[in-house]
This record gives sequence, structure tokens and C-alpha cells, in this order.
Amino acid sequence: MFAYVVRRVLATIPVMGLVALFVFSLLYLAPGDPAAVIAGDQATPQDVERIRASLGLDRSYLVRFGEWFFRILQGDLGLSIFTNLPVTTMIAQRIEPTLSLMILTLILAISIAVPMGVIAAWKQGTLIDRAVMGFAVLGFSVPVFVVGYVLAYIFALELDWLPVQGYTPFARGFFPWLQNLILPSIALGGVYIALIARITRATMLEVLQQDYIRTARAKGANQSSILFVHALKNAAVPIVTVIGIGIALLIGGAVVTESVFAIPGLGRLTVDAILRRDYPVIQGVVLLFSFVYVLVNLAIDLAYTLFDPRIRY
Amino acid sequence: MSASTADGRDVPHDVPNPANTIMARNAANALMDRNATNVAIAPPMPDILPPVRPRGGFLGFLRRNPTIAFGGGLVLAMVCVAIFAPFLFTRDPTALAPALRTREPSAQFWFGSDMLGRDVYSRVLYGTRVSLTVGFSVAILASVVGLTIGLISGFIRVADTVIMRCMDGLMSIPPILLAIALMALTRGSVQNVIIAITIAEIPRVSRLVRGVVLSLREQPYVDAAVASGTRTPRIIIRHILPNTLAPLTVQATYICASAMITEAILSFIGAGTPPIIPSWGNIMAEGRALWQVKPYIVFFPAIFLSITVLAVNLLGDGLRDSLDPRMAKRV
Repeated sequence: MFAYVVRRVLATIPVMGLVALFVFSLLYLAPGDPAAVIAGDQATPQDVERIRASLGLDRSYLVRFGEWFFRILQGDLGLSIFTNLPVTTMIAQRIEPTLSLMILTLILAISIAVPMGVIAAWKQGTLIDRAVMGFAVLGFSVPVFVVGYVLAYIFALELDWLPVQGYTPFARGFFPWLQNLILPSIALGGVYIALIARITRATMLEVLQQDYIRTARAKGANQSSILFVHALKNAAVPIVTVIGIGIALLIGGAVVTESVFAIPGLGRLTVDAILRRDYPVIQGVVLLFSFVYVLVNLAIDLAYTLFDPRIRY
Repeated sequence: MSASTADGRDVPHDVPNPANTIMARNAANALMDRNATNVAIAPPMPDILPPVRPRGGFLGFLRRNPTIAFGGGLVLAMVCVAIFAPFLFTRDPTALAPALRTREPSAQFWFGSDMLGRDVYSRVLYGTRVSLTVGFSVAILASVVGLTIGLISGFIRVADTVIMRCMDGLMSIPPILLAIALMALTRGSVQNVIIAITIAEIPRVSRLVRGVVLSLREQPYVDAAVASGTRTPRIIIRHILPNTLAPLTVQATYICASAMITEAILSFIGAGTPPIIPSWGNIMAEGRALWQVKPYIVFFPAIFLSITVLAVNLLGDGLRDSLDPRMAKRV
């Protein structure tokens, strides 16, 4: 078991290294010569060359990657071209809204999707099942920003129940915070709910055919305890796997959702950085999101033993 | 359990096939009939299912697969809209009419006009071209490249480790973020959008193909081919490749759908198709500033995008059910 944990943790190091190499290449290949920009229009080619040497830009790709990677390990993501602030500072300023949005979406999606999938599997072939599957197809097809605009139009503009856009920090109270985030979370959660509901239904159908479920029925266990205790526990591994993989959808969707609802988070930061071609910021955000994604999936892999004691490595 | 892709569509399928057990029973009955003439045996079970004579031809196929018929029909309709956009009562989608800006939908402007007085109906119809071009191109490119990579890593053990580690690395960057990062490197153009989304989709296709190849290599008929001295290239072309096509086709339709969404997202946040070209994402991005007062500028392209993606997804679901009947009842 311990050997497995060590092996699994070590296996993420080359993956993270590859991600870092890719993200570094992004800046390396980025159009525009920083030395020429700093030197200005009046500079002679010799001046540009001198500046390039002083910035260390004339050294080889691998040397520069090594140096950059070493700085990353120390938590230094460089300076933004546009604001001249450290990228880590900019990310720290914007992380709360994004984190709030994603955590709320995660809670919302799991608590809606898992019961949906369980009930669809239990009532297989009925109208309820078809409704859930139909919803899943819709969830995959209607893009995040479309759901966002429709929800905002109905609940914020027409009914005036919730604010149209914006973000209130958690420090100013739970309800103002929730009010601003509830629509974005539902919009962002659409695809995720569809994904989890579908896999829950598929796994539950398989588990419900097992002998021990029949045994549980025979001994008179009630329906909900069979579904949610006996069966769901054994269906947990694929469901949890998909929840982890689906985080990629949440990260991608957050960029758009924050644009639709004017939430000042990392997604907005990314969009602004792209419009300004602020490569160090793009680099930092991609690196951070990928890192989180890999870590979450690592944690899930390690947590399998909790869900399924049969899994022993 | 191997729920591997991000959309979780390729759930494992190892349930016992009811058709197999019935066939096995029939075979056993036939054996007994011949061998044990002196033993009293029960009369054969009556056919529970009435005889079904499937209608032949293309129409019969569509009748048996209503999802394919519906999804495919919608996709076909969208293709027609894209091709015949100039003849569907549209005007120049880029023509400005500042005096007629932000008009509500009317007989003159069916879907209204935007803040520059351009006709939203014409722009939405021409936008179909961008979406379908991107969707189909990415689906084809990602399938071809993914198939090649998957076959190589499924057959060459040395390459497998290296390739799959690279794919792991690429897959740990969320696809939309990867496409955004790639778009940040280049100018916005339809071609670059296609390349960026294709690169983001390739790892998933490669993994799918590699998985299929690895399981096919264990099949007895492949062992038989190897034993009878068939050369590897021939095994790949004759025995492996045809069997990867069914799952690959299904995956390609899903990729087409997700590529259309990604294109719209990229254009919407300003990192996709250049603003001069009317694409659904661009129209929505332009309508964003005004959407609280003039919601129709955002809603019409949104409806078209959703319906098109839905059609492609339904086509994919239908293809999956008809190409892999074992999965049909499950997901």
C-alpha cells in the first residue's frame, strides 16, 4: 500500500514536468522579441543583442527551461508584461471567486447528479429514466454560456430574484456570496451533472444485477438503503473517477462562466491576458490549473482504497 | 473499470450478452438431438420472440435507428443551411447600416439587427459555415492523427511508453485551456482554431485507439494471423484497423460536437475566429454588451449552436447504439 502511494506520487512528477515543458515552450515560442520591445525603435541591432544577452535570452532552450523551472519551484512565476506585478500576486488576488465558483458547482453537481443517476437506474426504462437521459444529452449539447444567458435572463432580468452579474466576497456574508454564485454554478454545472448522472446510471445498472443486491432484497432491506448504501457504495469507484476527470470541464467552463457573469476570477484574468497577449500570466494560469487538475486526480486515485477495500495495491 | 475519456462515454462493456447465452443453449440442444437419441429430452423451447424481418435498405436502417435519422437529418439540414446561406433570403452579413442599428426582430430584420446595423439573421446563417467547418475538420484531423498515434503505440512497445507519457502530459492540461494557450501563440484565424482544437483533442483519440488495439491484439484471430506468418503491416490493415473504425467513428462525432462548442467559446472570449468573420461565438461576443436590453442578438446564435451540437450528439449516440449493440441498453 505504502509502496503504491509512493509510486503513484512519483509517477505524477514526469507528467508535471511535461506540462511545465509545454507551458515554457509557450513563452519561448510566443511571437515578439522582448529584447527588441525593451530596446525601442531607435536601438541598433547591437543594442538589441546586448539587451538580449543581459536578459539571458541568448542562451539555449534547455538552459533557459532549467532556470525557469527552478524559479517556478520557488514559487516565482515571473512578472506580468502588462501590469508589471508578479504573476503569483495577480493569481492570488483573483483566486477566491474562481475557487468559490468551482467548489459550489462541485457540491451542487454531485448532490444533484448522483441521486439522478441512481433513480434513473432504479427506474430503468421508465419515463423518469428517459427524462434523466434526455437531460444528459441536453447537458452535453447546450454550451455553458448559453445556459448562463438563459438563466440570467429568466431569474435575474425577468423575475428579478437574483443579481444579474458580479461577485460578493465570502467575507461579506454567506448569503450575498451565494446569491451571486448560484446562477453561475448551475450554468457551469450543466455538463458536469450530465456526465456524472450518466456514469452513475451506467454503473448502478451493472451493480444492481449482482447477487448480493438480490440477497439484500430477500432479507427485506428497504429500497433506499439498497440503492444508496448497498449499491452506490460499490458503484463509487467509476463515479468518483469521472468526478475527477470532469474537473477539466469545470476549469474550461469557469473561463467562460466568469465572462458571462462578470466574475473577477482567474477566468477573467485569462481572458484579459489573452486579449493583451500577456504571456507570463497565461503561462501561470495554465500551469496552476493543470497542477490542480493533476493533484485532484492523484488524490482520487489514492482515495480508491477508502471506497473499495478490495482494492489493495 | 475503465471510465477513461473526459466525457465518460466509453464505459466498460463486459456484461454477459443475452444473445450469446441463447445461442449457446440452442447449440447444446442441437448436440443432444444428434447424440443422445435414447434419452428423453424436453421439447425445444418455443420461440418467445416473434420472427423479425428487418426492412432492408437505407430507409429500413433509418427506421430501426430513429436517433440516427433525427440527428443525421438535423445535421444534414444545417449543412444545407451552410452551403445555401446566400440563397436563404440573407443579405451581406458584414454590411453596415448605422441608421438601422439594434432593431427588434421584424419583417425587415428577421432576427433583428446588431449595434452596427448588421442583419443578425444573415450573420447567424453564415455563422453555420464556420461552426460546421471547424467541427468536421477537427473531427477528421483528430481521428486521422489519433488513429496513427494509437496504432503506433499499440504495436511498438518502445514508442508506447514515450508517446503515452506525452499524452498524459497533454491531457493534464484542460482541453479548453490548452486550446486557449495555443491560440494565444498565433493570430486568430479559422485554420489556427482548427489546429489548436485538434491538438487538444488528439490525446483522447490516441488513448481510445491504443486501448482498442491492445485488446484486439489478444484476440484469437490475431494470434492465428500471427501464427500463420502474416506480416505486421498486413495484420494492422486487415485485422486491427477495420475494428477500430466503429469506436473511432462514434468518438469522431463527439469530437465534432465538442469542437463546435470550443470554437464558439474561443470566439466568445476573443481568442478564436477573427471578429470580421461572422461565427456564432463572435455574434454572441458582440451582443454581450447589449444583452440585457437586446437579448435576441445573443439568443439566436445560441439557439443555432445548441441545436447543431445536439444534432451531432444524437447522431453520435445513435451510431454508438447501432455500431456497438452491447452498449446500447446501458449508457
